[in-house]
Amino acid sequence: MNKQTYNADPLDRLLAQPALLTDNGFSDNLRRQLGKGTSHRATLIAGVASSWLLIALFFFSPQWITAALLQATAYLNFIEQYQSLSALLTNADFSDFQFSYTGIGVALLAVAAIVSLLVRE
Amino acid sequence: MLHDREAFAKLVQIHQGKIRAFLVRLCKQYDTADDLAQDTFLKAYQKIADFKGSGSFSGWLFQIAFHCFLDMQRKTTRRAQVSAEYIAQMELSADRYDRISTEQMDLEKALAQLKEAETAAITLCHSFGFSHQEAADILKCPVGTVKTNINRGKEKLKQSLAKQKKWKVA
Repeated sequence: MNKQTYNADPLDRLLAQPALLTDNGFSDNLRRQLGKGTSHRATLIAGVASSWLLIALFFFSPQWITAALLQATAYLNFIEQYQSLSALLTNADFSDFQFSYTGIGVALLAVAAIVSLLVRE
Repeated sequence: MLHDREAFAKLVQIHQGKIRAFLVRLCKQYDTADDLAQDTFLKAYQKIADFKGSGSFSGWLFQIAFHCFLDMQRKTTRRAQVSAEYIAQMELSADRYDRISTEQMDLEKALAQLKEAETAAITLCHSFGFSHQEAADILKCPVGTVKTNINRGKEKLKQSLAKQKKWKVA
């Protein structure tokens, strides 16, 4: 910030004392906006992710979904989520997979990872 | 995250008065200024990780605010009309301020007649204490331009206030 002084004449003195606007609920409104924005965004992205996974479970093989999820998680910076999700997907037995609880579990975990990502953000 | 939000809300409380006063002087409408100030703080919240602490946090906020103003200005074609509305509106809007004297009201009206670049440079350097270099960084222009705008703006202010017989022209 400036250390210059401008008090040579009345104009400078007046300029140096700016009239500030009263808060008048501005801070409270903004605080609400900060909360609302994130929660809407989290809901939207979680919803889209869930839908995507459910559709994928109907139309693609578990192997394809596994590969896609691994590729997606590779973009995440959060190593913890990446490692746990990778371990889960690697250890899961997909040999006779149809539309099963394992698939739903993977889908839910992926959604949880995305939500967790958003919350940390 | 909740903790971050609360901490940021405190920063908003601290800086909102200056940011909104700056934006009112630039866009010449209280409600538009508040919308821009809201955009400013929301952008700052989203990009808080980008703030490296090399300059002041306040300067970073003013930089975002000025950018929001330029964005808005590109979208509007009603500048002259808005300016006229603002000057008329000022008579009725003393209650928008924490405290404002008659002299300060006269000054706000005189500032409303300057070019935005002059108002911005004068406000940053004379009202909010930024150096010429800091103002140049905020406004993304050369230091020489900031100094020129300050000198021209101050001359106009003196003449404008002298017309109202409030000040003697030096």
